[in-house]
Amino acid sequence: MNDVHQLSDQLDRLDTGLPERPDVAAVVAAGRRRRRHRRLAVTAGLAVAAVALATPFAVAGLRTGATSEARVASDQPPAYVAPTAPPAGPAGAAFGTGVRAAVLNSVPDAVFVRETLADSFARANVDGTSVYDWAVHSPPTWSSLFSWQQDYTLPSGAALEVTSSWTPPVVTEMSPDFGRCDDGATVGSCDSSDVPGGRLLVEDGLQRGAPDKWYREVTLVDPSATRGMMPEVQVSASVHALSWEEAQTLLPAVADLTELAQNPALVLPAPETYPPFPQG
Amino acid sequence: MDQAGDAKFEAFVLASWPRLRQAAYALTRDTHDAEDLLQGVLVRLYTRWGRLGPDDPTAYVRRMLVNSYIDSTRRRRRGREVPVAQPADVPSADANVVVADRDDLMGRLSVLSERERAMVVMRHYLDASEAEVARALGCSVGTVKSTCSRALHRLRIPMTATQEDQR
Repeated sequence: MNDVHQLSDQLDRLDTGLPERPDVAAVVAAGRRRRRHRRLAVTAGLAVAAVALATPFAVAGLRTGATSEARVASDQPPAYVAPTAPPAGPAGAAFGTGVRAAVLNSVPDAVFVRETLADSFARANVDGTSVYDWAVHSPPTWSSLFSWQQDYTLPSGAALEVTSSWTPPVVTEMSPDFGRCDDGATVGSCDSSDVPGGRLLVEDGLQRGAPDKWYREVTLVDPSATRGMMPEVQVSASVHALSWEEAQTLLPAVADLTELAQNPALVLPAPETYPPFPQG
Repeated sequence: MDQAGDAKFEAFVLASWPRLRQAAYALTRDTHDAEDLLQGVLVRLYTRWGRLGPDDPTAYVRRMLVNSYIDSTRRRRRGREVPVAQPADVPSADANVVVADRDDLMGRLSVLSERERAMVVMRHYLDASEAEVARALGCSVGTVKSTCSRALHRLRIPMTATQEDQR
């Protein structure tokens, strides 16, 4: 054993005081909160059918409004003013309507599919891994509502996922690099910038494990935080395509997704209390 | 991420944990700081798991570990340590390096700057190549070589060992 290997051996034997096994469930739970990916969360107890019935009328009205705005856009102030503070909470059923209006304003051909809310966590078992998954009461507990996701499809075949949420008040998630590009992590391009409403991250890439699935994602996060929590808006589009060139023709434009992500209607009112993890 | 992805992630974390844990502690020299560092890195890894490149995620996670550590030290404004030119109570350079206990090794590591420690841990404990260390820390391969050599010298580890160990 040479001396460098001896150093390595010594480091191996250090008593770190850290656990022998990582708490993967906690990592997965925190990761899921950030990625907005979940498979067991319960669809919101809102009247989805009623929303669907109302959609044609709402869409018609919204599109009319959008058209009117477009005609006078050059004489108008910017389409939005980035908020200096998140809206007062708690969220209510009207929030989803506002999000849908914003989506249809920026991506007019988006077709609403479903929405999923989260106001609590529940233990779940995924392939033998115990995780804290998102859950929602019926009706939702508005005071602890921390995520609101809407899914859309586009005529091109692309899927659009719009998520408005609050990160939990956990110090490790308040890193100043939150919302920054991870060099080398993205198979594609990544650009981050500070904007009046927070920090904007724009990514294009190819999804690992799905060699023909491409994504375009815009995330807006406000690192200044409120009571330790950060509001986060994520607009993510994905599509199956044989090449990036083809995918680009199918995905919404960066400008449209960026505009959507920065629309203040997508900032979820802060939960009054962040839901605890289930014990035991 | 799908269920298979979650299972692969868990398998990767469990397999990587011993080295990551030791490396995080060697970098931070504090159990709670190491825990925070690892938690942040693994959460970020999870969020990126489905979108990493075709390479082994090991390279990505060790890069995240050292970069997050460097970032955290910047945020703390280096309030906890004052690197000194030479360690006062370590064996001579000619002696076989035998670190009897944790305090001795931690004392040795504390004489290094954050950047030197990150390079040494990444290169000689996490087994990253010099090119990988250079990319992760935004410097040239030459800088990695010279910095690691200098750091190992300050740790009282003979330079010859590192030259033989070059890959």
